[in-house]
Amino acid sequence: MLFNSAHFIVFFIIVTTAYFSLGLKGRLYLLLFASCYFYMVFRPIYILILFFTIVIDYYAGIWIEQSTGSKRKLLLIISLISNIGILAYFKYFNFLNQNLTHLLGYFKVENNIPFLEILLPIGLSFHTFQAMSYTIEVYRGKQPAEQHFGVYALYVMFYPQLVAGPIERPQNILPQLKTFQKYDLENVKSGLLLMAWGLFKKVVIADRLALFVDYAYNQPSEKNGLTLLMATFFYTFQIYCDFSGYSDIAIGSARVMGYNLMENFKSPYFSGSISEFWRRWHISLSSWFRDYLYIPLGGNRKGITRKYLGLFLVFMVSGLWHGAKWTFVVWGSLHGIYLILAALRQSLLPDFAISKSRLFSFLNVLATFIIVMFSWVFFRASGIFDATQIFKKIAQLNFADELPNIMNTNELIFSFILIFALLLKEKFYFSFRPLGSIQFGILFVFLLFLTYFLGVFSNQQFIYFQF
Amino acid sequence: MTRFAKYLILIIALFYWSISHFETLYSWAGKNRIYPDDYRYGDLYRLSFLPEFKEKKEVCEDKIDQSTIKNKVHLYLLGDSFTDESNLNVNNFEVEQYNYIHWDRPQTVELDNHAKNILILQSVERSLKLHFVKQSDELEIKSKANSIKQNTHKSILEYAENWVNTFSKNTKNTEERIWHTLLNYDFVLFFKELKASFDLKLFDRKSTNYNLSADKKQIFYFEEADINCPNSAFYKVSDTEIKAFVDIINNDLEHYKNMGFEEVYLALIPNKVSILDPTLGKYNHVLERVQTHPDLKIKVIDIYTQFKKETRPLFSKSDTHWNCYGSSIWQAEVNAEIQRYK
Repeated sequence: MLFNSAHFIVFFIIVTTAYFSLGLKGRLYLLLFASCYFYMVFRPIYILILFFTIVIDYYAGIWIEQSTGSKRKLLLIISLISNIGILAYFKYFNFLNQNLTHLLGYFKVENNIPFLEILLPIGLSFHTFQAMSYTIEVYRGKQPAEQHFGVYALYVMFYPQLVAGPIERPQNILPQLKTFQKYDLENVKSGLLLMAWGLFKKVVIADRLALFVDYAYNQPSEKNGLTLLMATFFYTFQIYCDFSGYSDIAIGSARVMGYNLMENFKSPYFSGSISEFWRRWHISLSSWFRDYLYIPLGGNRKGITRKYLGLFLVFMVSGLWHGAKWTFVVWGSLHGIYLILAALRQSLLPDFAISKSRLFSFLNVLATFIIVMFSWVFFRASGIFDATQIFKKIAQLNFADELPNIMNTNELIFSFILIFALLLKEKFYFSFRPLGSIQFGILFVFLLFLTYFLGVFSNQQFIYFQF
Repeated sequence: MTRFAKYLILIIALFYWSISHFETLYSWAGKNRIYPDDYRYGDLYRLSFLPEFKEKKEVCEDKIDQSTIKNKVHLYLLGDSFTDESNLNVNNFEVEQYNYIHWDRPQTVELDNHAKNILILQSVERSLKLHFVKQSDELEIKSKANSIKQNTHKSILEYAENWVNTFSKNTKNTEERIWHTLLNYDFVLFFKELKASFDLKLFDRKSTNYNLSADKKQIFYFEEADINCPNSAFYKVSDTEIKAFVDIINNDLEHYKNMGFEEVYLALIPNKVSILDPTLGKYNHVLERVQTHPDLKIKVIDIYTQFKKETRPLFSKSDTHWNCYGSSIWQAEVNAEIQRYK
């Protein structure tokens, strides 16, 4: 089910009002049932895959806790292999097979392995990572194994964050699921406002910018440099509003019921460096990679070379996590390289007094933004060839370039106003402060009205659903 | 009070979800006018929400008193939305019996050997490619073979598969149905109109489901007016394709005559755009090219020539279909043909 749909609004009203009419046990079953329905709206049969991983990890958690030594490790490995195996089968099989075909073709050998004709289960990478964090935490002894199957199933399936995160940790969410959340008007108000703001970002900003971006990135070799530069600039905000909008709706809808999900974005485009950017962008994923891949690989403890290698590897894998395409690998690797270069600069060049000035900070933010913006080209382009074409065209930018008529002047100006307003909001009014009921009512209705009035309703999926 | 409000909201939301999710409940609620008819202001208004194309649907009068009919003509009409049950019925034709069969809903019929059975193959111009791309099998004559009792035993897997298919079908349409059931009241339409006008006037942006005439005074369904749409009046159609349509229609004629129909007619209804704004693109003249093709063997009920001459409005302002006057011209042509079988 899409958050930006009337179906979800009706679903949310039913689930939330029913939730506050039930006791703890009733709420557990209601949320499980609601989450199943939420997931099955996409493709009912894939609930079986989810059920399979839940059963495996539920028992793995219990057995890991009861075991010691190598048996404990073996159980963790079995659990991880089954999770990664499903992910690999659905997400990476065709990618690997395609690359194998190319490789064998180089030696003039035919690849007879057939390609799979399957759709990727929605949100597979998200709930797989969330399930893996549970078994790893149990293995590390930082989280007791959950004995109640329903509670564990809900940990993986909790509908607000089931298909696109935030990727939660068991320590945060499991205790909350087992506690009776009292009705709290402040939670309801701030949750609803966050949802309305998330919807605004998605429907008004992201989907409006997508009109230009989709046009420009479709057959980019036929577009001019100015169009592609503008599209890349727009995409930078489209992807942010799309994904952070989703996270806001997820966090808001959970907050209404009294659950606190982790923050996923903190105004990332105001970052002064790439490492800061990754502390502000998709926080739940970057912290996952930090805790479960970067640190186990040695982190900062095993020398400079190992650290840089670890950084590069983690970001390359993070790119691959986003999708089974070389463009994602390049995008992730680029970020790894930026971080290595930044770390090298920091260790080789001394800090000057000027580096603390406001102008220098501004230039740092601007430089980081430009680097991040151009890296998105690989994320959005349909292939490496298209990405290189886009860079070539942008490099050939000249004054004779004209913008296409996919957007008229009014709409282009309006798009820039939206971006400017977004940045102002992020800079000066980062979160919604507590409001009185009347103020809340006015602001909420006004936001919803604006969302409807200025929104683009083409039922665009969220970009991160495909991951 | 708070508890009462909570349960009231829950019940209302559950009610709207149920009638939007379950197809049978949706149909039941529609028949019982629980939610307003979303076609009440015309199908093109429903797609555009432009206030200048908002017009209440005309209710046409039945013209024929059935008690005066003395012929033994049974009329079968294989048609589309122009002639469906909401537009035409037995009281529009001078026949003893009238049967309507929709192109999308094949039926088995039993012909009365003592009556004169007439069949009309009716299609709007834009759907010609859909209906005459292969030999028609929408009508079957009742025979014993059809009534052999089927084995109804199903395995658990088949039940599960059926359930999954029904669930998918219901959820696929739930979103659209919620818009119809919950967000289709007149006060909501006010906001929809405001948004549609704002988008069009400020951003020149509109839904891709409709097209406007050059002077923006007429509205057309995209399938007939969008030059990129293969069914459009402005999409190039070669002579070979026209010949292929004619061959299929001739096959249909033979097929239905062999089934027992005394006569089979072809009735092609012109697109709204073909009559009102054929210069919106390069008109392909499909209708005329089929109707006047030298190899065509079927009898034609032609209204294109009459429609082109007509000065009164023939189509609804807010709808892709004809108005009562346009429809009456076609009915008169059909009834004139029926007179021959008295």
